[in-house]
Amino acid sequence: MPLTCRIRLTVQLALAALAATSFAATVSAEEPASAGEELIEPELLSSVEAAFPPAAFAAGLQADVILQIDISETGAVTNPLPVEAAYFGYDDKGNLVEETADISADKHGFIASALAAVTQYKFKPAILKDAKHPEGVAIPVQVTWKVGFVISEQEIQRQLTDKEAQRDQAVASDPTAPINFQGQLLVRGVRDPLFGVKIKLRQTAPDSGLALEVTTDADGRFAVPGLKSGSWEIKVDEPGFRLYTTTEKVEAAQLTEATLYIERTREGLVTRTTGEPPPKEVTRRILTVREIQRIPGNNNDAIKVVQNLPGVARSAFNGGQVIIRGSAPEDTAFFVDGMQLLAIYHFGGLRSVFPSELLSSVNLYPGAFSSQYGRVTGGVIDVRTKSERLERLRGHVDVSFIDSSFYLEGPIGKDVDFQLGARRSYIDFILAPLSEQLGLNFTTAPRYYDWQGKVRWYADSNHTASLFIYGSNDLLDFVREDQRDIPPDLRGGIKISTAFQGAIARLDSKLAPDITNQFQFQYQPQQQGFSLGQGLYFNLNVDFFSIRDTVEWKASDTLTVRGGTDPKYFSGDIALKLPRPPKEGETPVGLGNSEVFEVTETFDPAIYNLYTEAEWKPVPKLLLIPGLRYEYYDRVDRGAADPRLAARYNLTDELVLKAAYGRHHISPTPDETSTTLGNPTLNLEQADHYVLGAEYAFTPYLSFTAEAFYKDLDNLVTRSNGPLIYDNAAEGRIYGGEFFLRHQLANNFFGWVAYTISQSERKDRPGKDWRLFDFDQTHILNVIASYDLPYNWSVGARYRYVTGSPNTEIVAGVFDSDSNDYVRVEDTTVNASRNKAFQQLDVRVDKKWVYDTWTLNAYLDLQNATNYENSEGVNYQYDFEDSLPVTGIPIFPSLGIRGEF
Amino acid sequence: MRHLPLSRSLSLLLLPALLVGCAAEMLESQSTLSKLRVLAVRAEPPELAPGETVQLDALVVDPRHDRCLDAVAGGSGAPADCLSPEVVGPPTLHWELCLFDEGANNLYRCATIPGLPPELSRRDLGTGATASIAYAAIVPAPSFIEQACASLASADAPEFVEIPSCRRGLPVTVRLTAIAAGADLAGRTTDEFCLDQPADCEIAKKSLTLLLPDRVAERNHNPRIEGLFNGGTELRPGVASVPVCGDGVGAEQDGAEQHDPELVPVVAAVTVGEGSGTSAEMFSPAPTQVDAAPDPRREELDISWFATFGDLREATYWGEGKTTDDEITFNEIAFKKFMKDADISTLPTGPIRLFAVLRDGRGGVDFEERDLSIPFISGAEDTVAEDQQCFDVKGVAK
Repeated sequence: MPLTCRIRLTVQLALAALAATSFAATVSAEEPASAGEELIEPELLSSVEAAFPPAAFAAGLQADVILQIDISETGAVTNPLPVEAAYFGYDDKGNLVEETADISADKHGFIASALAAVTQYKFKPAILKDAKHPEGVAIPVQVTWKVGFVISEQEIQRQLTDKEAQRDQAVASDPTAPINFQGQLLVRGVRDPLFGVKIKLRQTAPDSGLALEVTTDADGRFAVPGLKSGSWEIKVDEPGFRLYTTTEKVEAAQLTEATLYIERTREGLVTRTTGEPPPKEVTRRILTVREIQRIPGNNNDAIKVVQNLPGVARSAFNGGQVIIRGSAPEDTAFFVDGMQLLAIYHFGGLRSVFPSELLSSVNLYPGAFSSQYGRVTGGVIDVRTKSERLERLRGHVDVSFIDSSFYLEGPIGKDVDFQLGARRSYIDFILAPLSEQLGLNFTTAPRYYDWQGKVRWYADSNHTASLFIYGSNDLLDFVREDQRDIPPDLRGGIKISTAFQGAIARLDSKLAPDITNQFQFQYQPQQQGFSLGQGLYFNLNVDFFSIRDTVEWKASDTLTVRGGTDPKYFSGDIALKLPRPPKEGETPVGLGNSEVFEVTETFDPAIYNLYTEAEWKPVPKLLLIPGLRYEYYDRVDRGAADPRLAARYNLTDELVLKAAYGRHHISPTPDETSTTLGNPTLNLEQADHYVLGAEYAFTPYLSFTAEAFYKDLDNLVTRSNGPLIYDNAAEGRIYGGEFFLRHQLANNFFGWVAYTISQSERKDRPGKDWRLFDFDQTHILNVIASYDLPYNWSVGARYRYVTGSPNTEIVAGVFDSDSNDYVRVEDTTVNASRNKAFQQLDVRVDKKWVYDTWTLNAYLDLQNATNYENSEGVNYQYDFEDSLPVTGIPIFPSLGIRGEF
Repeated sequence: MRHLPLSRSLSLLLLPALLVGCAAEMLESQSTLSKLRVLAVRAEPPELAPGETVQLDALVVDPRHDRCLDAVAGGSGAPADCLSPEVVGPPTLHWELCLFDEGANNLYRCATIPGLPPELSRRDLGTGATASIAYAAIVPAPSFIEQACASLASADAPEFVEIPSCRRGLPVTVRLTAIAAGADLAGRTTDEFCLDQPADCEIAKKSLTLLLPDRVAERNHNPRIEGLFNGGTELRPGVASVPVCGDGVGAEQDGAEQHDPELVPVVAAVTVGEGSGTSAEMFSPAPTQVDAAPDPRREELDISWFATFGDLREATYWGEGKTTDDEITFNEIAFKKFMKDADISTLPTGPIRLFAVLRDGRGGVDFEERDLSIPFISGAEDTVAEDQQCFDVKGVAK
């Protein structure tokens, strides 16, 4: 039965019961008061509704039950006795039929229900005032009390209609005959079956007036045996769908089949993804793919949308750097189903490497996260591939301004399902004709592609196995035609390539009724390359192996314990000839002024770890999650134990209080621990996260979250002036608050207001002053709204306001006669200036055409609709005496079409 | 393992290059001279052997004073931006030599190093147009170089001092401060003045290597510009020549036609081949890896051009592997493009000064300057003869 039917029935029952109580307040004293005495009648203080006997309700039978009850001097009801009862209802023609009941038989259960209700009544006792008791005294009294069981007029009419329908149905069809009309009711465009929907049939030729009604089963199927021959009008009038009518010609001795497609008119309330656990982390933001696909400015990209959530800073030029709660981008890690990825974006942020349809959700953990995640001091983004069983063939083809993709999913036999997707950009095709105008000769213009495949085998009720393979490849290769003003070492163009391929094998096992095990093995080769002319290059090849095994024991309803390990092993080689990369807080220096290093190294670091955590409910409203993780990094020969503790307390059904603490460690970056470029004796960097917050649910789909956070960073790697090049002398502190008002997809609307206020600071060495972090953004406001209009139009908008990023002002230039360059003279305080505040409005319009078995969607995504000139940096004159702001992306329309089936 | 920061590193490295493409055309080109500039500092010899004395000179220009002088000479009065019309002398120069310097953020001031005699930290070389100092006046003896380098490597070295490579000798810093004629310091130090009024003051630095005795044989020499030419005719020093326009003849190179009739072609004569007398010497760079074999290679010359009026096609040409002058030292000056929509009444009344600076990438430098007398044509209709087209400033160039 669909949700709407259940609601309707519930309301009707409630209305009927409410009507009954309105009849219940009639009181009469048995004996009048004597002269000189005054009797104050008992007063009803509290009552309960008498339950309407279901069978009687279904039969349309109503009743009045007269009871005799004793009300004690304390106001309690004792000795209720039935005195009289009368039943009444309506016959098939709508005539009122009354019947005096035999109270000893209580044929329909009205008397028992009335007795059960009145014994729970509470009265203010009757008071007798006389000469002896001028102030009054409570006395027991006996009264008669009428309990009425009344059905609303609307319900009576509905029942009468049903009776007519049943009578007609008996005429229109013959239950004993073979089925001669059957079919299936599906949602138009997406082909989802509809369960529990009533389909009305009315014979139109001959116009007999015969009608009947059938209800769909779980597969949306329906069948009518022995339907009379003739033309039948078929009508489906279901809330949330367009009215559907069609006509079918039926022969008595011949099977007629029909597939009915009815079109959805509005989105229902968002439901949680199948298998998704209840919230346990203190902070987890979940986005559903349906929401993500309509957020303006993101080109349907699920993973990029996290940049609009609280605590996530904006990256310049809409890039892919994820800066979570003031942490450096490299301190945040990306996972797919819990397995770490080395890259998740094409070209550092243009697109994510997974299509949104492959995913069920995108989870952002901005701090103090579970002990299952390690090697991270910033935040975690864990994208989850679909976990529900894929029972129907579905897919899409998407053609947009910059790329095209396809996706397919469905079952293979009874126990196997699959997902398959691929995408390729065609910026190279667009740019090729423009090469001459741009003065660039694209050997291979910017292009990317990615592919994914997943197969799951439901071996038995205790075992599920899957294999997920994926790959991504980016390449940019161009040469500027006029090379005469380029330094010789840098001539020959720019080539950037990034490629990785991966496979994750997974086995989910139920070892015992309360014990499960999840095992995953990942192999991911990766190749990164960069060359600038003939002189500068970077080539990295890594084979990455990882295992994750987690055992979970549900010890009781209040205690679940899990533990596991996710060791990793890398094997690779690197060859580079580059200037030393600038560290956080340093301004990038032109290639001409930098010392160039040439390095060739092989490496094979391993990371070993163990983690455990428990979910414990000491009292029903309190959830505690203590955890512990130990990690050992053999490259730097360092290990660290990280305790974690999270708590959620449901103060009320709507209000949850939460708090968490977590210690996190991360190893220095490979260049920092390089024997050639860095210091192999560096220690691990450490971060302590503290979170305090509250969640309030106004409705099932409207919620508000507020959180305060503090991060204490220690042992940060910083540049050392000595021969060690780097040491762990820096520290950091980050504090702030996040506010998140979210309306999930319901009533044709979804949106949120996310606001973060924070400060992220670093101290480069002991004794130095605190300074702003490179990515510090004091105010981050994201407002997102999307609304479904009639006729399958929808509109959405996103507005962002973000404090400008800090920068270090260049106050002068000194001429270096040896290089003919000017060397910048920086302000003595790092990051003392800021770019202009960023603000941008993006608008999106979608139009959907729904056909029986597929849908076509066209969209216009207009980024920076007001063409606001944002400042993304500063471009200085050759001698730094003059400068101009580097403006961000101007108004940028993106058109796309998408077919789904 | 923490994920590799390649993308961030690369983006930071490439960001300046990308940003330059966004707005560079709105900012002044390095080859355009509109204020006080130091274009080159030359040391002869560029690497100093024990017992030698170095001669220092510089190419310093302040075109505003040229205009003032021209205006006064022409009787039209001094333009408003002349700092002090009555003071028509050259910019004031102040020469210093630092054993070690304090780095860019401290304007390359001379640094005092613990363990080294303070009197060695800084030498004042005077305020003349040129300066000189002997090897022995900088360091007491060549053996001192090893001691100085060892001191720097100690933990007591100031944070701002970069540890030099002492492989061939000790690189010291020549610091030149140029201040516009007539500038009023108003009680400020020259460094303060330079920060406050960068148009009237410029600080330049140059590295000078004090060679170890056993490295003298592989010393570097300054390259040499043998002359500047226009249309096959040498431009003579001290004479304001009227140039010829491009003759429309020339090989296609990288899609651009050489000798465009609307442009003034100029060529610097430099010997860049492999024979004797070449400016592109052979040398062995410092090995980037331990135990690497010597890798002799030829110097990469580059030539930078500057002009007080007009738009040079390229600010700098690089001579990788090129063996003829035209390939590395050819340039063209455009006046139409430079003018764009500017008021033609601002055309210079005197000669245009053209500068060429040749560098060998290892501290060696040479420079030349010439005057060009341009008979500008403006306001004429489309009747300009082909051999006069490069003087036409009417309208905007193609």
